[in-house]
Amino acid sequence: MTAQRRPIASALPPYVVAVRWSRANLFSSFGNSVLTIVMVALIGFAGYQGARFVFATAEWEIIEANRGLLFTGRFPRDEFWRIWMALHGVAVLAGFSWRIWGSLSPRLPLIFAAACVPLYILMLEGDALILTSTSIVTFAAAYFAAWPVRLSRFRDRARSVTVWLWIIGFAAVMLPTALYPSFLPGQGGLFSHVPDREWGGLLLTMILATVGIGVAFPLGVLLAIGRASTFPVIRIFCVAYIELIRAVPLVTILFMSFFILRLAIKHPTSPIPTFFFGSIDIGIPITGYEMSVVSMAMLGLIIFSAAYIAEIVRGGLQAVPRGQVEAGQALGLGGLQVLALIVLPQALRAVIPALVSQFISLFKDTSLVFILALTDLLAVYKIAPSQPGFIGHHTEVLLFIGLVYWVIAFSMSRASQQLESSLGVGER
Amino acid sequence: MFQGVFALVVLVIGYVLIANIQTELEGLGLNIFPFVSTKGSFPFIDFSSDFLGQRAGFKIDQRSFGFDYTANDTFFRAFITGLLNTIQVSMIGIAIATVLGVVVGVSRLSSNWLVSRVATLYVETFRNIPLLLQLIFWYIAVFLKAPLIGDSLDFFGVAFLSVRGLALPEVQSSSGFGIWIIFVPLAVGAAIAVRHMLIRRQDETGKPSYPWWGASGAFVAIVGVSFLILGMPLAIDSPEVGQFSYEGGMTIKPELAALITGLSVYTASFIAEIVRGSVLAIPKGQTEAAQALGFNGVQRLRLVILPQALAIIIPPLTNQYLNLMKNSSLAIAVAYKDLFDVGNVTINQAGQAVPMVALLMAAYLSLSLTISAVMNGIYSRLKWRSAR
Repeated sequence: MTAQRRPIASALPPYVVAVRWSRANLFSSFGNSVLTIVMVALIGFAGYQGARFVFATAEWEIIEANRGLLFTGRFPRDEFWRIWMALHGVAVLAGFSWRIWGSLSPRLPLIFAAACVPLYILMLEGDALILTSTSIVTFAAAYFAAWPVRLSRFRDRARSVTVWLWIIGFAAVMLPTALYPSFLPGQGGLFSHVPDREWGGLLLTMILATVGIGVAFPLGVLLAIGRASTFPVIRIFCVAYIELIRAVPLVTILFMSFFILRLAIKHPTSPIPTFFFGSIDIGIPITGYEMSVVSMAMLGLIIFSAAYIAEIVRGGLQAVPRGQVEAGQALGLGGLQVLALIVLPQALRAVIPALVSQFISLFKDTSLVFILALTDLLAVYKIAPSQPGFIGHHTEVLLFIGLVYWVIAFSMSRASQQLESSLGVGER
Repeated sequence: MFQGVFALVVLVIGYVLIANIQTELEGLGLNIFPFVSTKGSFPFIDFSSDFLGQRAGFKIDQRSFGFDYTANDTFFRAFITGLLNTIQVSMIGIAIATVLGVVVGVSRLSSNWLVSRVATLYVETFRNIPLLLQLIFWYIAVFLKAPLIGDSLDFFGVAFLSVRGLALPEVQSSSGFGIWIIFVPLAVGAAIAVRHMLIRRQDETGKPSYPWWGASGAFVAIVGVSFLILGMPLAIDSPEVGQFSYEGGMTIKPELAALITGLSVYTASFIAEIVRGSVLAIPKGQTEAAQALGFNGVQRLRLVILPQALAIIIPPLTNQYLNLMKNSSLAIAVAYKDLFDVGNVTINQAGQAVPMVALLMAAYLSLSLTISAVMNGIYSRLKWRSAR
């Protein structure tokens, strides 16, 4: 039923090929011809109106004037080297892993580059251009540097080293920053403190998304395993958690995190009264931390996404045939070994598409922190058009922000399709 | 042993958190669950006792299902108004998103290259942009940028769009409506009977006797004749452009219009993918068998493909309906007073965040359970029918 691709006979002149193609794919019946004509009229109208807005009506200076706000919020300029380092670190690891796991089809970078053109046109000067182009160069360099590794006998070892580098790098960069207020109170130390209310723009969006994905994923896997567990207490807890969280909107979770959990975490832990032993002071300070709004937003996103990831992983666990577990047991592996070495790898591989689409929706959902009055990428739509000279130019900012979200989300979904085919999902 | 440790840890953390909330609230002179009282009778819940029984003092411009509310009513009544608004938005959004999603999903499979490409563009665009941004875009960049009422966009004299909102014709009932409505279930019964009769005749004689046409004919005849006899108890009230507002018809305000448009356009892009996937999941042999039997395109879709695809569609579709209902809480960004927005205003005015967030979660939980129950009912009925 889909549009048919016919092999083009090279002997025919091009206009004959074109006529045949359009007869087969555009004018195959009376109804189709009418549809085609209506569609052409609609596309023409929409294209004309859109082009008129983009090239004539819109005033894009608002984007140029606010690029700092859009990309880094109020992050101090003196500390930009931190973003540079993080970005180049990610680029090296990404380029390396891409080469040793999959192969890069030329289409994805082309789509990505084409979508970046409007971003560049508006960013022709300043740090953003240098930053992004050098990190793309770093990515490419790592990609080509990994070529001999892929062919050598060290490939498997390189793979596990890369996985560890990802985990350690993630923890080293993100966790101290995310938990800064509770871990390192006061000033001083090696680095100056950038309070998280100064994070903003795409930077904050990406921090929220990466921390959200990085923490919610293992938590979701644990919840899924707990749900499949034979221990009734653990199973009931996991089922209740997953079903409750999935039944309510993310904004209510964010509010719960912001209004209730923050209150509970702020108060110091008090001794626990028991029936027989009087009050027991457990001695572990579970609570008593002042958490910032950004950390509470992160916590809300993690609580929310973990439930959805758990449900996806559960589907994967169910798809692993029972014989696999029995074969593992027959080899003398213990319960945890069977789980970690046999069941989980197969289960996760089977649900890669669903997992990535969950990651994409987590990335999109980070925009909801705008409701908690954080200045993420989306919040710029409200700040920028209130500046003198740009009053009321919401449409331009909204379109630009939408494009940024779209480029990232679309690249993620395309990358997952490539990962899927290179891992051979659905082939066995 | 392991379970015991787990349960102990969960209980300790849970206790510490709840005890902390309680002490924090007591410091402010508040109660953790003010509407739960052990003094009252079962189920020990009284929504009129604490702050929920106080005067709300804020206005809600848009109300649903004829529910009445003024600024002098209680917080609890405001909450119910918001709940009904959420239900209304979800129902309209689900209906539009389903129709749009099926159209786009089928279009992606069209043999017409242009149609399938436009449908793909639609899906890839709306699915990869956050819903919150889309809602704000529809509100600020579309409905609030609409022309002033004097220059309303005129859709064939039937509907009008301006910064005041979208004006649509409204169906209004008069005196005979109460009697006429009794004839509608009668007509449905007659239509079912006629259909059964014609199907039996078709089975006996082997000739097509068009049971659907017969049934629709019976339905239209009974409903139409009674409609005429009772002196047309329903009339269509068309809107007209007045000086400051529309006269007649019904006006959908920009907030509601943006919310419904955004929700249904976004959800439709996901439903389209579900529809496409389900149709592709039907083995090609089914289409070929239908072709061999001489069915035409519409018959193939209606009698062979869709009934089978429907069984695959319903579970993921239920998820999308749930998502749409939950996403309607983003109404807060377009200033539409839904359940969540009313909850937010109540938190700001009464300063009772803890019970209010709990109440909001409970309300959304019950809405989710209702949608799941309805869709599961449809699903099991469908399975039972296809198993027969």
